[in-house]
Amino acid sequence: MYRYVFKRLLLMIPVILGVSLMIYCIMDLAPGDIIDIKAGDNIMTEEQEAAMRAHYGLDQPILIRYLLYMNNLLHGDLGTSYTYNEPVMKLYLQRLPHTIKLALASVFVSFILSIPLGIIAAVKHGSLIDNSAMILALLGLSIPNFWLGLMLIILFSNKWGIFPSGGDEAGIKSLILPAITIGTGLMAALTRTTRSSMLDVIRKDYLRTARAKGALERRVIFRHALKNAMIPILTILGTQLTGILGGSVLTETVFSWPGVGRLVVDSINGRDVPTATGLLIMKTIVMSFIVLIVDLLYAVVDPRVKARYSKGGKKKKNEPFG
Amino acid sequence: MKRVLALFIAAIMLLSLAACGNDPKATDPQGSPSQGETQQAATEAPKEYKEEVIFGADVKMETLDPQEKSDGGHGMIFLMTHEPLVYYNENERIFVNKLAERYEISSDSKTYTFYLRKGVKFHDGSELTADDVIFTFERGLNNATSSSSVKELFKKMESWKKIDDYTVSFTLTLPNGNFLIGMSNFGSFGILSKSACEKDEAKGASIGTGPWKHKEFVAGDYLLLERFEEYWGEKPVTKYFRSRYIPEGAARLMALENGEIDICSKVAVEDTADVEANPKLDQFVYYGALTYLFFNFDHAPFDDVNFRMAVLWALDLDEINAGVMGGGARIATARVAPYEFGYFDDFASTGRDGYGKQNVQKAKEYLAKSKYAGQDIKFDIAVNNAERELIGQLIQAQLKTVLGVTVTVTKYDTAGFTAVQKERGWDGLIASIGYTAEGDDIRRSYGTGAGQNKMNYSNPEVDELFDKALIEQDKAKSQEYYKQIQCILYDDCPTVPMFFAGNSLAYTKKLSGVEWVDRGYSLYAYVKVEK
Repeated sequence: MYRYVFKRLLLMIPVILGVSLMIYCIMDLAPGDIIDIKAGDNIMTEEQEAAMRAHYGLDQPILIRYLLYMNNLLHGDLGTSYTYNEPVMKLYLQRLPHTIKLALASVFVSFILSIPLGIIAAVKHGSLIDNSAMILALLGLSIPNFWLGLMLIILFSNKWGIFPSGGDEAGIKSLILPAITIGTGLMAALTRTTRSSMLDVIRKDYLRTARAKGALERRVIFRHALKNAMIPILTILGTQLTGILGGSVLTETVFSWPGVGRLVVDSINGRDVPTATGLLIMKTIVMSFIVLIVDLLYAVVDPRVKARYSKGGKKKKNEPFG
Repeated sequence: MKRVLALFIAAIMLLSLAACGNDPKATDPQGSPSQGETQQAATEAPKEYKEEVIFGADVKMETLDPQEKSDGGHGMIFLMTHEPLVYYNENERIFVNKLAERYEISSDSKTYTFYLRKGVKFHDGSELTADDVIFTFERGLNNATSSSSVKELFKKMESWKKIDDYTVSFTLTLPNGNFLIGMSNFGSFGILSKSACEKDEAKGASIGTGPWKHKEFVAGDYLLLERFEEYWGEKPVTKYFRSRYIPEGAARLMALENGEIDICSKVAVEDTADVEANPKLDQFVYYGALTYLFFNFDHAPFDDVNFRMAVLWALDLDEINAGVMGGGARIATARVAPYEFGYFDDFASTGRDGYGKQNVQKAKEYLAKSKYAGQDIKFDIAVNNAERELIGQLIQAQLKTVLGVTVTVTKYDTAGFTAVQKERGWDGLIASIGYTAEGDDIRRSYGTGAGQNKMNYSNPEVDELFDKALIEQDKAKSQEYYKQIQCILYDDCPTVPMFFAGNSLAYTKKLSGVEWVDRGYSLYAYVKVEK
């Protein structure tokens, strides 16, 4: 198991290298750079432009700049933002707690809405309840989250004054509306996955055996069926969490939530290469860890997976899996 | 009978007592307030103000260095934290001494001498001296990250010197009686602390002498200012001022309606009616920047003045205003802003038609005179946001209908927009320029080789008139020069001035203490909101 984890951690290194090189190249290819942003509507003299390029190190070839950046990265330095003149790590750490809060709250909302809905839909497969659950899930997917966010603000903030309209200054009250906005969007995929995964499991022989042995239906569903249906659900949850931890730009914009997402988009539009590269590298690292955790949770949920990890990921020939 | 009479007399006496009682509003013959009035005044509670005023900003703060940025969003903060030597009050059109107790201008308008106030403290506790002023000039000119408008201003100074610890002078390359107007604008020319900047190159420039100092700054989220208790002048009543970045306009306005913020910047045109109807809110509409359609003189067909004039007269700005700005913009009738020194738009008095209104017949006449008449004319208009894209699309439709010209509209992001201008890869361009009240300021758009002369327009007569207007001490003669410049620009048509955006800012009616400025750089130093 430890070898498996170590191997996965080592694999992150080429991923980070690849991501950082890609971002550097793409940002360099995009028209304009930070000098053009700083110039704005003014036309700089050649002298002014040369001085600014030297200040930001943009007078160096891209390969030199990239190697210098990677050298700093090895020392834990993500560079200094061109836009804000602040260390990128500082900007990231200022925003990370807000993003984590929002991500966990959104996934929680999605989880508590989707799992029961998916289970009910599977158990009452083909009924009105099943169809209603699917329509509800589809609504969550179809409604644009920026529209939903604004509607929630109009009702709960503007009209009834229950929650603040934005920011993260009122504790849990600030979190509720943005979490519902994102959570309902995530609901669709998770509900459908729960339903189809449960449907797959619910007809298995071992459940019939459990019922025949007199197990209560609740125990059959939650103790036996759900546990075996968890792998695809965990995969979706993990994907959703990584997506939100990378930042939900639209929701952050509507609720002026001080998260990572808005900062990433602003840095790309503002040609702030160190910030964009640094944040995307951090996102890559976070995503890699979450995927690893999800993979390890498979082992918790499914002993067969644990055994495979313990054997270093090797499967015996003809060994059944799944 | 006796009893009835006694009762009657008693009633009369009671009535008499009531009639003789003091009227609380009356004053005695000597004019001093009556006892009732004094009691009323004593019970009237003094107004209580909120400790923190919150501004909902549409633009995020990127820097605390006044020399790096000169846009409205940053300028309003820098005008609170930093002070220039002299400030130009645009509403009253007078100069107000700030860090300079007094100043002198030489008879040739070239040399300015400033006598600094003594005992003025920076936010870090150090005292303002002439060294700080000299340092500010040098840094503004030489610092790599200084904005080009700051560098352009300091380039106009031929030399500067410290006369003593509290006296500084500078000499201009050219005489300019209005130079101080340029020096006090945008908040970019506030005096910096030399010791603070030398101690901390990154953050030192945020230290100023203004009535507000920085307390907290989370880049891209909020900025919190705190009242500076050792400010040399009148201290604000409010203790904290927070500028909170709320990018979504609807959410920003709702935050104001909820009372979460006290001021909402940039209210969308479609929301201004709601603000007007709200009894708790008020709004201020300011000019903002002037939006132009620029022509690239290096590209056909804009190398031909007749074609440029054809485009100018073909455009229906009322339709664009109604369609894109909801009718809220102010159509431009000159190539400068009305608040600017030298403003002139009475072209009828010079035998020219005033512009701002579509004239299809004139447009066709100019096209017929153009060297491109009869040809299949095509050009592109570059834009950098959704609003300008809509304007471009309306221009596209109008020019097709009136002139039969094919126009495409290309939208760029901010960096791409600047890059395409630098490479001169554009034909037409829609952009805005915000001018100061200083008459010479439009030189940066129309002077040969000037910083915002995107068109590559050059007319030596215009350049000469700019110099003459600048040197001229007689205001009336100086105005005459600017009038001549406007007439030449009318005939050369390097741009189509379209409109002032008519930006609106909404605020709670309990707010006071703000000095509202038409140009948009309002002063919030003494803002307060009643509880």
